[in-house]
Amino acid sequence: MDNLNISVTAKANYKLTAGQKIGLAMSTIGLFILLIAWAGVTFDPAWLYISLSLGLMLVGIATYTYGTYAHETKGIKNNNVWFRSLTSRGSLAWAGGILLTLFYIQLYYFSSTLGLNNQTLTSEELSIPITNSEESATKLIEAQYPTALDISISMDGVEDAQTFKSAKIRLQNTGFIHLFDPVSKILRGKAADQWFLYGTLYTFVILFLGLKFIVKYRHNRYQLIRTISVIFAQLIFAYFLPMILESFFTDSPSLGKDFKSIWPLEYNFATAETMKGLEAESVNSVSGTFYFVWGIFLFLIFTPIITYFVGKRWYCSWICGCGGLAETAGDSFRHLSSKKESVWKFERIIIHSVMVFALVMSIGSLYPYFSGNEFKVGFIKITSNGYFWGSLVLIALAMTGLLYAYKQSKSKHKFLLVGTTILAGIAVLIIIGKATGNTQIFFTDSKTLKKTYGFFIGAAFSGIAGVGFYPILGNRVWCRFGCPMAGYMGIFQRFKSKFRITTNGGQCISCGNCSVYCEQGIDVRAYAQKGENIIRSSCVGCGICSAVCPRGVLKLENGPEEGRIISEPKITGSH
Amino acid sequence: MTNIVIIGNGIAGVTAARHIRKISSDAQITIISSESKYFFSRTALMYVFMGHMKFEHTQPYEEFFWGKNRINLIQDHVEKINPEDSSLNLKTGEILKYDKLIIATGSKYNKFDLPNSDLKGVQGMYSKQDLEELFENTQDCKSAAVIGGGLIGVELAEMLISRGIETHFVVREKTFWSGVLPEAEGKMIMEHFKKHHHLHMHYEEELAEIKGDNRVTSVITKKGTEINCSVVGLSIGVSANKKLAEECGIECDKGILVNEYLETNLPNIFAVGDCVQLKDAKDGRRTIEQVWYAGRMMGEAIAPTVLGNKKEYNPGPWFNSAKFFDIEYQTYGIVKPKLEDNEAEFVWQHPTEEILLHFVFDKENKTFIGINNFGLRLRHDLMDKWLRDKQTIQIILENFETVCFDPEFHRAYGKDILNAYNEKYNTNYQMNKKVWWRNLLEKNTRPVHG
Repeated sequence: MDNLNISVTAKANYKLTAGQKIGLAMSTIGLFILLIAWAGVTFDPAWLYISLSLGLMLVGIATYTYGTYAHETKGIKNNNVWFRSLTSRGSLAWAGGILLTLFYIQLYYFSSTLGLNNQTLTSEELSIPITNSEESATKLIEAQYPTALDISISMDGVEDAQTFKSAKIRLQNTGFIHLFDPVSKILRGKAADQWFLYGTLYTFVILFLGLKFIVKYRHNRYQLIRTISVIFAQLIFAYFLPMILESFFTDSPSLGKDFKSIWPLEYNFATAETMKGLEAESVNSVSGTFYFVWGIFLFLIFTPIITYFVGKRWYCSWICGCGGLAETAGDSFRHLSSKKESVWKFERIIIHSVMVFALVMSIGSLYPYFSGNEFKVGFIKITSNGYFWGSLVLIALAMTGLLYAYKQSKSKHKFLLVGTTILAGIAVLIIIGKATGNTQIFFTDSKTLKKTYGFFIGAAFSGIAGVGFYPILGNRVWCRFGCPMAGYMGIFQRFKSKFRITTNGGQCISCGNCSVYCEQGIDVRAYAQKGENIIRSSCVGCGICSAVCPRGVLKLENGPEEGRIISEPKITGSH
Repeated sequence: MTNIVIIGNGIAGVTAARHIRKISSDAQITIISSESKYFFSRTALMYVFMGHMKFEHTQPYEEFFWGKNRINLIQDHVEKINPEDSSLNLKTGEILKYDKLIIATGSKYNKFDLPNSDLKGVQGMYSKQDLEELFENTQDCKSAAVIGGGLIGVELAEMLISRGIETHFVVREKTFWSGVLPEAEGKMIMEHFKKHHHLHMHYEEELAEIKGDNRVTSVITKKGTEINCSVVGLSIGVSANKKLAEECGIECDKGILVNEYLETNLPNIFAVGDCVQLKDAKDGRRTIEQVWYAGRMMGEAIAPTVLGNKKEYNPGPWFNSAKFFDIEYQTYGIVKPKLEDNEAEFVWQHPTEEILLHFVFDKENKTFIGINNFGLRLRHDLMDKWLRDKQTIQIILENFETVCFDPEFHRAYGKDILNAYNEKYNTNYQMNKKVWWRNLLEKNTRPVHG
């Protein structure tokens, strides 16, 4: 491609305002407290330092935002985005990206280094006689470790002749996790752990940078309302509500779940472990039954219907937590997504592969469970036969849907046929399993399947690559290439939905702002300049293309299906 | 197999090539440009300067596109057209034959006929090379002057202040862009200018003198004000690149003269885009329209004609768009700076927001003539249809909620606008409920008059 024959910089002229400097100073001090704690320093009293840190960051970001936009007129202000180191894959971006990635690796695989102090000690090391019963062993250990947060005992031997083998003792948190203890105690009455730390940071980042986003796009009501929604969803539904409910209703662990997280994004929902838990929970509490029904309803009925009416944006850029982080913290990196056609091809293969993987993992996990037990939550009873026929009916339904889409679509997408074939293959394996009585229908046990999925998709893809690579690959890496929920809704959005981005007649000037600022890497301009509506399975409906368009060419809207897809686009004005 | 050569890879030339390929799979298509090998969007150059995008983003097609569509790109300069043997002399010495030639050489910015107007730092903003020059000129620039109002002037000013450069905008008119915009619009834009720090307006002023040795150091206006500056941005219009055509005997006036089929006076030679002057314009449009949209529509119209299936260039009702810093502007139909005798107007301005609508219609039969639209987005398809159908102002106003194209949850102000109109003209128009816009487009609303 052509390029400019000079090096393009604007360093000399880019100056920070006083507000930006003060804001940066404050939020950096707030961040510094976190960094020292991350490095292993234990702050006491923790409540003082965590309030100081969060408070400084909130006020700092608010001051920075004020310093950035207060003296500016309302409107799109993307000046210098491609000149700044942080937002143009410069050294700051690389350093930030690597740091984030390391944090995720540490979080997932080395949480003890964050201050989570688990010790596993044998009876010898504890000098507790091996003949002790579980109860008395616990008592002895409690005496040795009066401040232990949790003690779990492992016993050897069979029922009547058990001997004490070892104990897993969780000591008081230190370092980074300790800093979050006060918040955790207030919200759920117990000490923090690495996931509480992560959830808290995650939520506050969405809140703080969401507020900045709102000010930045204050002229655009779609952005305003959407961002309030996404902050609210994270703050209330994913953070406060589950934790408060969990601490109040200790025998209803389901109430501690994020009720807006939907399978297959929430892949834990469809696993043997969850089913086992729900069964146990439903004996004493109605919440287990509710969670089971709610989860199926969300995936099977609610999601397709809402996606039909408004596109997948209702979830991806209005409610979802991953989307929430991408839209707020990730807003500064949205332009880094690649718009190349080759990347689009790659995207279609990988996102649908993850979807199939999620499906296989869930079926593989549920099949042995349901075929081994008679599953019973509340008033619902699922027998082995019921599960067998039910899953076949669902697969048949999905196959019919894909074939219908194939028939309807003009360009005859081959991937729909591939999908149908894969579903047929899964059905065959289920039938063989039933006939032979072999419960490992995918030739491996359910735990291995779940572990593999959790490692590669749950942790490595959605966390480490998905967020860690924000400053390099853009803010929607996971949503674009990985999320199975996005893939699922995308099929509806592409083939059966009322949502589209309308191109305003012939007003496009091919400037390319829409394409550059599309976080999903859609080459919006390619459609707009032809006068064609944008119908893409990957569009999350963030509305930024419409916001940055200097000529008012794009509008996200829901309308009749007829005329949604323009096969022979014509530019208004030329007849 | 027709051998078609296009000079110029701007929007007009490239659109022509694309549409020729759409109709004919075997035509041989070559595009020559000395500015750049690949097509880029000229309108986006300002965003490269401001750091909104990189230069590569201004290129709407990836490299493979040209090979896939068998469009041959040559980066070279055409020195001479030889109509007698249908050939071109290129700067590199190569000679290129053609069966059909499309001239799409665009335009260039006007310069002052003043001493020192070639000093370093004095420049316009049109081409890729101009952008490169501006990057260089603004490296240590603290203060700049932009001479001449109009759209390129506004863009230049916006570019310069984005770098924190103190920018003096020297405009001849008393109200902004009064050669095109009515007074109300001009005044609102002027109010908006005041909100931008680093922007210093000088109305009713013209350039008298450029000072400096190698590099410009200041300019002096006709009223005697001296403005210290190391960059002078020129925005005093553009003119057609017609020299190449003129030298080979193609009839030219202000631009390359073409008929309604975009044919020049020489056989097998056509012209499209900024370099063109129509012999005859329709629908109240002008014979020279140096805008993106006209270039694109000419490029589209020329394709069948070049391939032997003559088709008239018929752009339909005028439309245009621009952005004045933060205020978006769209226009549909004709709104002149001063009303004609048969015209009436209705101006609605939001009391606090920067939104202004200027409707013009026929005094007698109320036929809608045009609208200037600031701070709101309107649907092109509906406006185009209503203008073609010669609908009345009543239809526009009563369906305003449907015609509005602003993002969801935005207010269209339809009722406020309608009430204000009813009050002014003592009418009783009723607001229609918002419907799906295509229903209105397909509905054959018969005009009440005319």
